[in-house]
Amino acid sequence: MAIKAGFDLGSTAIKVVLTEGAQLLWSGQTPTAPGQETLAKGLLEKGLAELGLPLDAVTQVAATGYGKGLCGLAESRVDEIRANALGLFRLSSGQARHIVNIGGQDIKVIHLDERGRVSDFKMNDKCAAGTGRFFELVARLLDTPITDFARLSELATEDISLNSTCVVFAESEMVSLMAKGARNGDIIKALHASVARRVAMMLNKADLGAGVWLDGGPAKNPALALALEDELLAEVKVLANPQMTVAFGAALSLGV
Amino acid sequence: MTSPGNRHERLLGKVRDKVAGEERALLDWLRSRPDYRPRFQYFLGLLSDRRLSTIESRCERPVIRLLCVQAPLELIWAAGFQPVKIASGSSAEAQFSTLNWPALMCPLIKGILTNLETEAELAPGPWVIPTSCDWVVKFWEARQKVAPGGGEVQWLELPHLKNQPGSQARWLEEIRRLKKFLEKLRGRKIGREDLLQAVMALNRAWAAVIELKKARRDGRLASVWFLTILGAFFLDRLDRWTAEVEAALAELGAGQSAGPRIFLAGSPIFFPNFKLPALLEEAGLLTVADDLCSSERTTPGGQVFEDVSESGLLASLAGRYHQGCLCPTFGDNERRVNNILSQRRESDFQGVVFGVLKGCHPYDLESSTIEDTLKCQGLKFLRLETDYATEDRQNLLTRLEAFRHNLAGE
Amino acid sequence: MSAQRIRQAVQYLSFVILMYGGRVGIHLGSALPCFACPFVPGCGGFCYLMGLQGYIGFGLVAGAAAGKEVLVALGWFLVFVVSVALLGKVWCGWICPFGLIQDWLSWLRKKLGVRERYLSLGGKKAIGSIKHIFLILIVTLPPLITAKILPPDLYLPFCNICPGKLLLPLFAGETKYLALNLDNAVTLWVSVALIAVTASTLVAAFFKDRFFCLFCPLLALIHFLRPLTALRLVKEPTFCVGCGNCRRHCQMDVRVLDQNISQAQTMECVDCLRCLEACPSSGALSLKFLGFQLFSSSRWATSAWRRKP
Repeated sequence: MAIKAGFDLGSTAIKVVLTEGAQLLWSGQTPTAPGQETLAKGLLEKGLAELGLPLDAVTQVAATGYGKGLCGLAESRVDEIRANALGLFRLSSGQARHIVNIGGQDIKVIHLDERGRVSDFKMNDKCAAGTGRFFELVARLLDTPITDFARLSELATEDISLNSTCVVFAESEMVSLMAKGARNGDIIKALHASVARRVAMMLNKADLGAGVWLDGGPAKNPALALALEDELLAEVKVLANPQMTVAFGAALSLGV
Repeated sequence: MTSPGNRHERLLGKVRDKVAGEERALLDWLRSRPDYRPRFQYFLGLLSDRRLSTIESRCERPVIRLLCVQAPLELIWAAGFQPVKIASGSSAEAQFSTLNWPALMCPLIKGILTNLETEAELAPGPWVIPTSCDWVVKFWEARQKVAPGGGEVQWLELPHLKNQPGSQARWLEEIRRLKKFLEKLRGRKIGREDLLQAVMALNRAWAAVIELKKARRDGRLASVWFLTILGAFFLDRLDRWTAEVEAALAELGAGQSAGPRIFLAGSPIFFPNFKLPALLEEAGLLTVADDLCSSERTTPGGQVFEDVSESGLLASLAGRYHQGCLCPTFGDNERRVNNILSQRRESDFQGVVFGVLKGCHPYDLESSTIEDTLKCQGLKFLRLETDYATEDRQNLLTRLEAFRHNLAGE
Repeated sequence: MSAQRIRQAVQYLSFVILMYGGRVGIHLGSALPCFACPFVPGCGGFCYLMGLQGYIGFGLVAGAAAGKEVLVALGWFLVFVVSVALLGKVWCGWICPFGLIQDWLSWLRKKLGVRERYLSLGGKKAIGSIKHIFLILIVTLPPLITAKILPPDLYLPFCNICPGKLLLPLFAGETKYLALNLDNAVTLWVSVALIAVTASTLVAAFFKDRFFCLFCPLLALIHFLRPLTALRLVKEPTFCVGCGNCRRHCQMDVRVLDQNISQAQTMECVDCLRCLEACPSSGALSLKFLGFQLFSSSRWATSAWRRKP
């Protein structure tokens, strides 16, 4: 039995998956902190223990994400875009043609051909607007956990809009909205819409007939997918474990 | 207590140190590369001391400070001056002037504005400035704030349409004015023979550049060396630089090209900011050609002279530097993309990486139309927006690596 | 080897064959699409303009009854068409001896550092229209001469004022056309006209490359047959960056060369290929024979600008 491991050393979270063939056996994550490799190793050991496997059961490790260069454990490194494409294409049973990945500090838009190869991609330039970091900042500002965002967004009654796509300016815009007495739900709904607008810009004129697959940590927030559908006028699909697709893709890059 | 003036001086000192650090880091990196050859030391030596006074004593002629690529270099050499393109690729320099100027501004001009303060000898002296992009046009005004007084400028009003009736004649008029300006500075006439000699000298240099281009295309010369050698173009006498290039070419080994081949386009890349070319290498992409005004477009190329009379040569120079210029500030520049398409025929690249400096609006806008055209022609295209700071290295590298796989069809 | 070197070699070789070929038994017929002058003793072929005037005068009018003359005239016309179909304007830029003489004058001007004079678009058009007037006269005058409406001393009217008739025989030692012909008033005026046309052409060709080609009736005739020519200068507009090297290097100052259009071969073009040699954009300009590429512009080529002036 050949167990393979995929590490996704992201800017916000470290994700580890264990696979056998194209089968996802286990996945786990932990927030990014100094000593990424130790943290990833810890996750790996935890996963193996839960599966009841010995430590040497893992035959190969592939790493992706910003920290991939720091990971001595991995014998293979793969870029996040390719890993994402591999992982999501497999998990969507070959259905995905357009992927939107929202990560800790970047947004990626990936287009695939019918064989799952990357045909084109876009990534935000040095700006955290609309990324996971942005959501965290808003959560802090509103003193509301991100997990409540979807529920609050549903309760929105007022239509307000956040005009700024810049994190810094959006923050001051929100502060002034709060000062004017805007409700959290309304602000959060506006926030989702603003992120969706930003993503929509990156997809510009692409024909999204087959729908868009949303993944990355913030994809767990269903309100975001709704806002995105609204903005793109196309179906937005989210998998069960959207933050794991990239790590899974890394493991797949080792071959199945 | 120290006075504010002193504090400013100390801040400038800090910038100088940082710039020196950036330059040293790049030079050390270049020297420690496995493909370093002792021959390259000449170019690294030139780059390690770019002070105008050093260049003047090295070339034994006074320096003309230049912006952009539209002023005919041959005319400046013929007048007995050394043309030096003023540019800054330093992150510390660009950062230092951020507070004074618009946030989203060309880092190159920001860097030069700092450089005017850190290098006292830069501002005073003759400048030749073609009115290319808005940043360049407003440069002289901004300059008065950081380094007031001293220095005179010869503007060249660049007709921003190449095919407009009369635009060639207007540009020729500007070139004639430049000639008068140079003659007055030097106190002597520029004769036909002077011009012809300068033209032939540049043509010899350009023939060497063509060999360099071939070496890069064939994988015998890494793109970072190509940029290094062209980066030293203005720093020594033209004949000596040419001879050194020819000698370096003779020593190059066999080609070993690996990885998908790409064409590098977009905003210029100046020493010591080799972030993008180094990342391209790191991502396993082979840069086989470019159209940067800091590299392959340092000059428009060999000068064709049909009419060798003085006025014929002037007209020929003016035309070549205007019509042959692919600067994005031209309004009717749609044929700029043809250069890439024509180069693809023999340089055999599969993709184009288009680097945009944050705040460089003409290139930024053009990247979008060029992307459409190139994709229609079956080329892959990656646009990267960045500045001189290094914190986005990972973000850029991720994209470049994905682009490599994309090109390799994986 | 650069196209220009080959062209030069061909020009000199043609010059020798066309001027002296007859002395060793070479005669390429009387329908050559270039100024191979029949007035040169021992020449190697005749310019078609002479034949054209002759046959129009005799074959088609006086000898209309004699079918054989018509057949001969048509035969030579066919030879002319085939020659043009094969080589097109290469006859002008590569073979024509009078073209070579004009190139010598350009060379001399460059040596002396004298600036070339350019014609305005209007001036060029006006001078260019002369060739059409010539063509009309070449077709209309000979019958009038045959019909004795015009004096017989005007026989071969174009040749009478063609600078080639005065200049080319000089290379074979024939100087008689330099002198005024005092036989009668008509011959006197004709020889005065010849000397005047030749002198002014020479002076103009010194200041402007290939001045005569601007209004050469033979060039116009060749151009009319352009749809038939196998040899073509072709422009690929998607490779052209519009740098203007081609136009600056062009002897005929063809203005459309650097425009964003696919037309390269205009009426003035003499196929000298200097544009192709000066073009720094690979594949933008090429010379093709029936679609097969003979020469093509290249970014690596340095010959256009490495040559010492």
